[in-house]
Amino acid sequence: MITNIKQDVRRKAELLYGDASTANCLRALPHRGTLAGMVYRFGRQAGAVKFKPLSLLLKVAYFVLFYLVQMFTGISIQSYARIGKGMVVCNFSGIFVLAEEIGENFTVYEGVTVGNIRGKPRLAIIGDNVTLEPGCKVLGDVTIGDNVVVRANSLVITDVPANSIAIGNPARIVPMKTEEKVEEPKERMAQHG
Amino acid sequence: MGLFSLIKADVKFKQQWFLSQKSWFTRNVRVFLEPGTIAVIVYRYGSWARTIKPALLRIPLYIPYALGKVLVVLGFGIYVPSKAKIGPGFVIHNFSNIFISEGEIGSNCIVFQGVTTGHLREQPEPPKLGNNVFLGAGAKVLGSVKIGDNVVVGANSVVISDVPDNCTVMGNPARIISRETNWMAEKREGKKVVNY
Repeated sequence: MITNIKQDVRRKAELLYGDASTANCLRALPHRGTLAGMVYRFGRQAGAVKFKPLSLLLKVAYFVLFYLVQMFTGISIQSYARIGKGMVVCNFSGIFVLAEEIGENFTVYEGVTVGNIRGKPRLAIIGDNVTLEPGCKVLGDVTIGDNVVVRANSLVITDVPANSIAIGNPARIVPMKTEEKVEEPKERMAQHG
Repeated sequence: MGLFSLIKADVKFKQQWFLSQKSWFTRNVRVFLEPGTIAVIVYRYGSWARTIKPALLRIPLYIPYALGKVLVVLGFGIYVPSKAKIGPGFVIHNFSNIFISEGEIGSNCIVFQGVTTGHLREQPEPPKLGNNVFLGAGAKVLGSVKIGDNVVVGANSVVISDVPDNCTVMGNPARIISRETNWMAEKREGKKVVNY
C-alpha cells in the first residue's frame, strides 16, 4: 500500500511540476485527488487483510473515510477495481471509477465516469498508460488496450485497441502517431492543481 | 400522495433497480447512505413543507430543510429545487454536477451524475419530462423541450429538441437511434430485459 501511494504521488509530481523531487512530492500531497487515491489504496489493503476482525474494523474505517472523501471532493473510486501503480487523479468532482481491472499509469480527470451499463455482464477492463480526459464516459463491458487516450466529452461503449485515440460521441477510433505514443505532453498537465 | 408514501416509492424504486448486491445491509442501510437518496428525501421534505397552509407554520419546517439543502448542495453537488413537480419513483444515482430545473417530471425518472435539465437563452420554459425517463451520465436536456414517455437519453448527449414516446436518443446534438424502447415499462412489469 505504501509503495503504491509513493508511486502515485511521485507520478503526480512528475506530471504537474516536471520532476519527482521531494519538494514537488510534498506539493502534490494535499491535492484532493491524491487524498482520494490514498483512501482507495487503504480500502484495497483493508480488503486484503487475512485476520477477519481486523479486516472488518479497517473496512468500517475505510467506509467512513470513503464517505467523507465523496462528500468533500466528489471523487468516488471504489475499492472493487484493481488499479496498478502510478494512478493519478487530476482535479476533483464528478469522478466515478468502477472497473474490473485497470493497468499502470492510469490518469483520470474531472467528470469522468467508468461504470456499468444495463444488461452487460461485466465492467470495463483498461490497460496500461491510459488517459481519460475531462468529461468522458466509459460504459459497459469494454476492453481498452495500452497507450490509449480518450478525448474530452467522448462516450466509449465499444472496444478500443492499443495505441489509439478515442474521440466523439459515440467514440470513433483514430490511430495514434508513433511519435506521440506513451508520452503525454507535460504542458497540458501543468495547468491543474 | 403523502410525504412518506412518496419517499417509500423512491426508495423502493432504487432498491429494485440499482443495488445488484442482494445483501440485507445493502438493501436497508446503504441505500439510505447514498447521496442521491438523501437528496431525494430532502427534496420531498421541502416540497411537502411548501404545501403546509398557514404560512407561519412553514417557517419552523423550513429550518431542517435549509440544513439538509446545505448538506446536499455543498456536500454532494446535487441541486433539486423544491418548486419542481416530480412524480413518485424519482431516483438519483451517484452525485455531483446534478442540476434539475423547476419543470415537471413524470413518475419513475432516473438521473445519473452530471445531468443538467435547464432552460436556454430566449426559452424561459424549463423542459418537461414524461414517465419512465432515463437520463444517462452527463446528459443535458436544455430549452423548453418536451420528452415523452419511456425515453432513454444516452450518456453525454445534449437534447435541444422534442423527443417523442418510446425513443432512445444519443449523441451531441441528440439523434434518435431507436423508436421501440420500452424496457422501463417492461421491466416494471417484471419481464427480464437482457440487452437493448
